[in-house]
Amino acid sequence: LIGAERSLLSFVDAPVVVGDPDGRCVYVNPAFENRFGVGEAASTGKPLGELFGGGAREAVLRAVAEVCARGRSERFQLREAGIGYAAVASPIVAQDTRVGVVILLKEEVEGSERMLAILREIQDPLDEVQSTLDELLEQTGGRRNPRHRAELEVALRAVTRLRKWVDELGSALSGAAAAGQSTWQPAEVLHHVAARFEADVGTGATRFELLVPAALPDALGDGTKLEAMLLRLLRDRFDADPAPQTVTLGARTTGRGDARAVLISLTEQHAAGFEAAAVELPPLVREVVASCGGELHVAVEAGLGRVTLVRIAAPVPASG
Amino acid sequence: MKDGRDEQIAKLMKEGLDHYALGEAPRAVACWRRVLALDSEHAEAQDYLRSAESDEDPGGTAGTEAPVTGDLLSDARAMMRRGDLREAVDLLESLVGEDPAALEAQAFLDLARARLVGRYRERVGRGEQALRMRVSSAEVLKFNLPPAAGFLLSRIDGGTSIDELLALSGMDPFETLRALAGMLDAGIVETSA
Repeated sequence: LIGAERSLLSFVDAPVVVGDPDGRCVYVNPAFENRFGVGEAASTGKPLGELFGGGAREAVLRAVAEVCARGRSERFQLREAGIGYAAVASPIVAQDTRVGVVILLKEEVEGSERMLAILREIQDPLDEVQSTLDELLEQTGGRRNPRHRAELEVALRAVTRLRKWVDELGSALSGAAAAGQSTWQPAEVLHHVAARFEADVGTGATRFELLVPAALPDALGDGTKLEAMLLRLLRDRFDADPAPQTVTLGARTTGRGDARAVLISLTEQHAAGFEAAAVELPPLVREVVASCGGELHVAVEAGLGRVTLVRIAAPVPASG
Repeated sequence: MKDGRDEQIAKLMKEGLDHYALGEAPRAVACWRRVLALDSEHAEAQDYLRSAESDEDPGGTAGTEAPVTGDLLSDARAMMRRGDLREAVDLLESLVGEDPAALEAQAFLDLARARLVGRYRERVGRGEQALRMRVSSAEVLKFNLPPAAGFLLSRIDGGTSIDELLALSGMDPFETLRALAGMLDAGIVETSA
């Protein structure tokens, strides 16, 4: 895959896998990695079927064989980790006249609906457990029996945590995502970007510093796109000539209430005497940031370095 | 938090007066402007600033209605160029505290932090070293430590390495290193042999 194609596929929301004419994986995009837990480094060179398990493997192999033999698109369905996908495998010309394959996977609505149905099934027994524990606490957990009371309180707190996550999953599957209010955890994404970058590319002579706390407020928008964009910006920085002495990927919180935001920065420091120029960011980068409701700013201080700053809204959720 | 801000204001007011007494009006002005960035209603700073600016500009062309934020940002960038990174970070933090949407100031704050963290790492030393207390728990109270430093102090036991503190605290690594460097400077902790 050439760089431009790779970049383009990196920004596609749906999982994409590209195979060579021998049926081996040459590329998976970040959306594939997010859903299937297999990244580009681990998948490159593997037979495409090995990226999937059980019945999905057979479906993929059959489709790839058809595409490579007949040179036309093949539609099929597969199920992985309880989620159904409608897949399209299409031929691409690779290595002169030999045909490779690109597979695009689209999550089927039934997948979310099935999970919502399971969530509804969980609610009833959860309510029963809570009410039984409440009753037990009332009947036997009085002052006369502090140990018993403490144990019941631990169980009740666990039920409260479970209910919170059940609710969270429910809103992620239905309302929030549909209303365009999906959120993502920037700290998780940035740690992942750093780990992936160091594993895939390595930092060479350039020092790489990660200034990201363990957790940040959830940010609005699509973290997948930003993850792909940050990886690309990082690679660009390290590929620059001369390469910076230090590159810092940082993130912090700023503002309060509705104006709260997460600031993600990429800072380059060069050797003394090198004057970093204000860099013109590719329009795609600006579009990705804008699509997440974010803002972009580049600042340069002669002799000190250059900062690319991304501001993503992370408003405090309304209580109640 | 407010105590910390009041302390910083008092320090800046005094620094400003020291500079003014030495005939360094521009540096005095910078200090008092930083006070106004922290507390825009600070009457004493406004008063000093008016006097100092009229000294600098007897014709009164500058006035006191100049865009303070822009001036302070220039001050911060000058501090960075001089290598006064801690001061630059303090000033930029005041600026973005007042106006979190000021992306130019936010970007320079990140640049200053990225450069300063290298100094903090040098001060703190190798990541595999452990830190231990140099003063008693009772003496620690005299230092009026910020909550982040207090939290880190509770994790310092002579056996936990600096790398482990960075990982276990879950805090912004910059703030962790800043607090550790500050406690080393203040003689509250030391590296274990």
